[in-house]
Parts: sequence; C-alpha cells; structure tokens
Amino acid sequence: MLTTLAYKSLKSRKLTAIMTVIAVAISIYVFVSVALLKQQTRVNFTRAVSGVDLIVGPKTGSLNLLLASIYRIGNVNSSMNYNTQEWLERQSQVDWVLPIAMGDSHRGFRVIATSEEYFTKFKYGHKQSLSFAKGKSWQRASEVVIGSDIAKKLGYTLADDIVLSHGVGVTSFMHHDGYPFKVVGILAKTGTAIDQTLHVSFDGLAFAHGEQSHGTQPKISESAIKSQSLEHETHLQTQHQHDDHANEKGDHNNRNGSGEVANQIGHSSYQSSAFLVGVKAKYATLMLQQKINKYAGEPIMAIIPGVALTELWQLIGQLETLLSVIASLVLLAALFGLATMLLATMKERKQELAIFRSLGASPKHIFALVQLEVMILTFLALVIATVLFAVSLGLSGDWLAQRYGLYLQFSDVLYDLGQTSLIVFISAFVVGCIPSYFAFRESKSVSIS
Amino acid sequence: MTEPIVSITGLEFNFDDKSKTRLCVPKMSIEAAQTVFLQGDSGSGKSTLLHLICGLWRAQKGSLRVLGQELTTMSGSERDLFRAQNIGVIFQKLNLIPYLSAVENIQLACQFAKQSISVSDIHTLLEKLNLPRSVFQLSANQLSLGQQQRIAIARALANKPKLIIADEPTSALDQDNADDFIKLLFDVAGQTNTGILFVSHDTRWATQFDEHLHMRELAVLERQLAC
Repeated sequence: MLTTLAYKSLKSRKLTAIMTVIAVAISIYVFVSVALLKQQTRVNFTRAVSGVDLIVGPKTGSLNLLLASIYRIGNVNSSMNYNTQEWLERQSQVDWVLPIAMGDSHRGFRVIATSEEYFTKFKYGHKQSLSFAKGKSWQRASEVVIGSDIAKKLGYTLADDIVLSHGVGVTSFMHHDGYPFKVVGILAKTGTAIDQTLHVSFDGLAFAHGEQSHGTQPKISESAIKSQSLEHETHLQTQHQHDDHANEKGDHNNRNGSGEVANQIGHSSYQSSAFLVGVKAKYATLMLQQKINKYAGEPIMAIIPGVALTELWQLIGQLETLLSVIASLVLLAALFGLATMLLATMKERKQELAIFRSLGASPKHIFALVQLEVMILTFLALVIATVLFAVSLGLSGDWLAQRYGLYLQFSDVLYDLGQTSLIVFISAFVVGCIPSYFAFRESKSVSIS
Repeated sequence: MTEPIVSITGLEFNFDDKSKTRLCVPKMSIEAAQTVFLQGDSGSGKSTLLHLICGLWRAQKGSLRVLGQELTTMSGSERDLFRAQNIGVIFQKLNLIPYLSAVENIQLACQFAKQSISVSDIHTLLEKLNLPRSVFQLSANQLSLGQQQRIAIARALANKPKLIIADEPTSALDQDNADDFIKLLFDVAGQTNTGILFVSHDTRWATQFDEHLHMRELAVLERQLAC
C-alpha cells in the first residue's frame, strides 16, 4: 500500500522524478562500468593463460611479452631461432613447447602461426583444452583454423577462402592476395583472445609470404620432402623474407619473382615470436625459468604468466583505485541530488504529511514512505543503467576484445552486477535517510490546523 | 451507551518550546452522538485541545479518555491506530492527498485503520454527499474546494468513527457551500449516530448544535505560570 502511494506521489511530480532518475542512472552506469571492468579484467586475463607455465620470448619487457603472446596486444619486435625451440624441447623439465609467430592479420584480426600441438596442449579457463566447433586442424600449408568470433562476425564457414594481410592494422595496404587460405576448422568459443585469432601452420606463414609455389598447395608431408631437395637453392631468400616478417619492416612487396620460385622451407628456418611452455611438474618452473634466462644461444627470457599478471595489476591498480573513487563520488553526488530533490519538495508536502498523520499514519509510516520513494527512484535508475550497460557492452564488446583483450559477456557480469546493485541500494538507503528522517521529524510535530 | 466519547479531567499540556506555555483543561466531556460547538478566538488553545483529543500530541498530566480509552498512557503508534479507527478529522481546507482520487483518498483512510471497504460502499457514501459520479476518479487537485470538503466528510465517516473532529472546515468556503457543508455533515453524522466536535470562531451555526462551549470557560492558557 505504501509502495503504491510512494509511486503515485512520485508520478505527481513526474518531471523532477524523471530528471532525478536520469541523473542517478548515469552515475550508476559509471559506477557499475568501473566496478565490472575492474573485476572482469582480472577474471578475463587470468582465464586466458591458466594452462601455460612459462612464456619464452626475445629479451623484452615481461609485460610486453605476456600481452603480445597471450592477449594479442602489442608486438614482440624480434624473433627466436628454431635452435632455441629445439634446445627448450630437450630440457628434461619441459613437457611441451608451442611456438608462436605473429605479424599478419586478416581484416583486423591477428594471425598466428603455430604448431598443430597448439590445439591439444594449450589450456585456458579451468584447464580446458581447445576444441573444434566445426572441421579440424590444418593438413596443408594453405589451410587456416579460425576463432569462433571471427567465424561469427565475418560470417565465415568451412571451405571459405580468405586472404591474409601483412601487419596488424585493420586497414593494411599489403595483402597477400596471391595466396588465399581455406578455412578448415572453426574453434569452439573460449572467451579469450583465441576467439579473435586465425591460426596457420609455420608452413602456412611461409606460403602467405610467397615462399610457396605455382599455386599448387602440396600437403605438408609432401612439402617436407620437396623442401629437402629445393632448400639449398632458395634458402637465402627465404631466410631474408622471414626476417623481414618477424621484424615488421613491411617491405614484403619485395617478393622478387617468388611466384616462379618453387620453394618450401624447412623447420630450421622457423622463426618464433614466443614459445608457450608447459612443464612436467610445477615445482620445476622456477628452475627452468632461471635456466632459460641464462641461455647463451640468443638473448631470450622466460616469464611466469601469474607473476607477470601480478605486475600488471600493480601497474594498473592505482589507476583502478582512482577510477573507483571517482565513480563512487559520482554515485554519491547523484544520490545526494536525489535526497535534495526530496528535501526540497518536503516543504510543499507539509500539508500532505499532516493529512497522513490525521488519517492515522505514524511518523514511521512517513519515514517509510519517503524511503520507498528513494528506493523506487533508485530502482528505476538501476534498470536504466543496466540497459545502458548491456547496450554499450554490445556496442563496444568487439572493440574491447580487439583492442584490450577483454572478452565481456553480459551474462558473465550478471553476478557482479547483482553485487554492485546491492552496494547502490545500500548507499541509496543511507543517503535516503536524510530526507526520510526530515519527514519523520516534521510529521512528529505536525500541526493539522 | 452511557460512556462519554470524550472525558477530560485536570489535563495539562506543556508546549515543547521556549515560551513555556501551558494549556490546562480542568474538565470537559462529550456524550455519545452529541454535537458540540467549540468557540474560541485564535490563540485560545482550541487547536491544541483538538491535537490532544485526536492523539497527535500527548498531555503530560491529568486524564484524557476517548471512548473509554486513556490516551495519555498510550504509545505514539497506539494513538495513531486509535485515531485512524475511531476519529474522523476534517481540516479547514486541503484535506485530500492531491495526487489521489476521491475513491483512493477514502481507501487510504481505511488502510491506515486496517479496515476494508468496498468500492461500491465508497460510491454510496460519496453519492450521499451529493457528489457526481464523474468526479470519483479525478485526482483531488482537479476538484473544487466545495467538492473536496464534501469528500473530506465522506472520508472522515468511512471508518464509522464515533467522533468527528472538524477544525474550521467552512472557513475556506463561500456562504452557500458552507451552509451546504454543515447540512450534509449533520445529515450523515445523524444517520450514523456520530458525535461531532466542531471548532469555529464563527457562531453562525452554533444554535444547531446540542452544546455550545467557549474556550475561555473551558481552559486556561498560561505563560510561565502554574495552573
């Protein structure tokens, strides 16, 4: 009954009520966004790297290596030789090594070259392996496995032909037009950067850069045989072009006569940007890390993803705190605005309070009535803010995923949203006590004549 | 019924302010179904007396019994419920919650009294007070003052109280509407044997009441002095 009354009372002051709701909704939107981004960033980042024990890369910043190799943010600007991979694989503590080469893209999505083991060894989330929603891994150099978001957003399905571009921008001017790839596998959704990645084999990478011949697309097994016979002829050229690729210098158009040169590359010329390493036993991780850092073959380093992530949180922690403080202050300001609105109308509602009292309402009823008005306004604001949040998540989801590696799903944030709503309601109640108490006191000494 | 509706003996009320004013009412009573006209100048304490009788304020000393219940010992919320169920109050003007309709205003009074009333009963009541059906669903602030005051009578009667307290209910009305108001009030209160305590400084209708009391004879209003 009081709720209906509070609702009708607000309805009679429609304009001020709507303006107040909008103000509070905007502030809740800011508050919710900041809180959820903060929580989801951590969940997301941790989720993407759960199964990797060490990341090995050329000497660079550990954050740079982490972000580039797992989240496809930024780049590793040098590469490592195949010898290094072999050395790693020989270490007794190592269970598996997944080489990754970066640098190409397809319509803004990153392309990585890796080994076939990637699809079985890589783990994410709660130690889940990757699985194929459709198709299977590549058999030929000219085949590609794509992430689920790419299939969905670009409408690709099995057997579609796609062309890779050099560099990682959305608008690349250099396309590897002559070397189309066929989609042979689509991965199931993971909620990590993998959904937005195209995977090719190392041979495929070479193929894209014109180190493949005559438009024929030999099987990888055949190519290996072929490569042995042809390698010595074109080895130098291949090596040169691969270095180019890894160094991102972007002069791939200098593919002098590559169409005519039949050529396959051998493992020995594989250049990797990073290696994801799994160890046989966790306790060996630190030891292995030290060993890798001392590797003499070339300047490389190993990082433990969890440690690097902690570094990342420390780095952005202060910024997050600042954002949270600002968001809380914005929310508080809006709630005080709401309280002020109700206080301001209290003077003209004096007679109304007197009527309630004469009808037998106690001052507690009056307190509850005003508090209910606060709650209704807050609830409406919360609904608007949630809709606003869902819409903006829908609109900016792709952008957040591609630019910052954040894979936010509205359904994922529902739990956090509930928690945040609770905070909003409690704050609203506390601030709402100001006009409610005022009305309570006023109605106690009310005069009916 | 032999028990009086209101019975006061040696009542003292200290205003809760710096003037240290005290209202003393040595004796007063209203019998069942009696209509009483209470006359007094402004500032004579009649308004205070009404607040005490309907239990909005509480006297510190003496006895104030309404329908046999001692109000001075009841808690605030007990008095609130008691008022809702047993006393109908009509003010000078602006008796209705402006954003509720006539029907909703009456329902509200019943809800605070924890009683139920059917919509058809409300319609009958409103029709008895010469209100056209077309105004039943209009919100109160769309109605004329005369209509609002008549709805106030209906609302005061909705819970079938034993006493109606009316504080200058006609002062905002013109002559015709005021006459009309008094006539209707007497009609419906008479039908239900409801007592009336009517406060005014305008003695025009005083002769129609069973009893005519004067504030100055009834009570003493003192500043910084004991009774």
